Amino acid sequence: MNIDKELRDQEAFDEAPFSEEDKKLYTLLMAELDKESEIRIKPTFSADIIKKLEARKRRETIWEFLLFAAAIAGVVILTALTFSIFTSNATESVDLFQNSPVGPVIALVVLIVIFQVVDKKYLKDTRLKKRLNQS
Amino acid sequence: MDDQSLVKSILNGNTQAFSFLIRKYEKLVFHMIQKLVNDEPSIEELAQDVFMKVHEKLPGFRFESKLSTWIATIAYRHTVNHLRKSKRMVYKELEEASEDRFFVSEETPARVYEAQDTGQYIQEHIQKLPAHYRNILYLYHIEEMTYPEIVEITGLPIGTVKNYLFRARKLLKEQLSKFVKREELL
Repeated sequence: MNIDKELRDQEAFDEAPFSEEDKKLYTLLMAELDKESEIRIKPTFSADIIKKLEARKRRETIWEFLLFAAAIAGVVILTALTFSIFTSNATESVDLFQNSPVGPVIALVVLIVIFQVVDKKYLKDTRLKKRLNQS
Repeated sequence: MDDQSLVKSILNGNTQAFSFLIRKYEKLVFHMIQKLVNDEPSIEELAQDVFMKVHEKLPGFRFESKLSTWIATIAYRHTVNHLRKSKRMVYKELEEASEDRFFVSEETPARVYEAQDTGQYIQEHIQKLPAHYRNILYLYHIEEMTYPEIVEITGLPIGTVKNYLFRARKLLKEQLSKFVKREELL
């Protein structure tokens, strides 16, 4: 620390020319301020944090696995639903588009949109973000 | 190990590297928190939270500032948010506080005589200063941070940072004057 510069800046702030006593006091004070005070830190502090991080990582892995399983189950259910809509419609009428074309098409579009949103929000974006951040 | 290699190693999943980072910056984080919080068990809990946050946010760190400044910013903001939530810090009160109040409570001639040495006397009086004053003194004098770095950490305007620093030193110098005069009398 440049003590002369500090004294000049302090003098400008105090708005009064320093006496010899002021200079001595400020010099003594700044020497004391530059000394670090004692602080107690447990020796196991870093190890405790690493343990916490590992526990959090385990929880996140389980949560990600559950989300992935739910997404797979969702795909299976949505496929079955779509298939059942088409087959029920086909059994009720020979011509799919002549009898009631709007209902099944809207249902299909809705199912696809829901799947895309779930896939983007919970799988692609989160994984992609992690990869991008790490690169 | 320099900070860039350290961060790269942590992002590659090296827990030993993160352990090294904790040991390297734990003093900074503890001091930052201690300047704002007096309760010792809370200091350690808050410090743990800070390093958890550091680990979480590290992938987004782009070296636009020094790693120490970035960690100090997280420590400062996390502690201030904690204090705000527990309603233990009111900025307006702090800003409007009268300087005369800081050292009045226990300052008696006998107290001045009790102090063992200059260092102890100064440390006792630093503890009586408002949190922002203590923090800025620490960042400027111990961590040797620049004004822009302190501005980045505290979010305070540069004029306020300088004002707090100079006011704190002026107040301490006045107290030190009493102590020095006591020594001359002895």
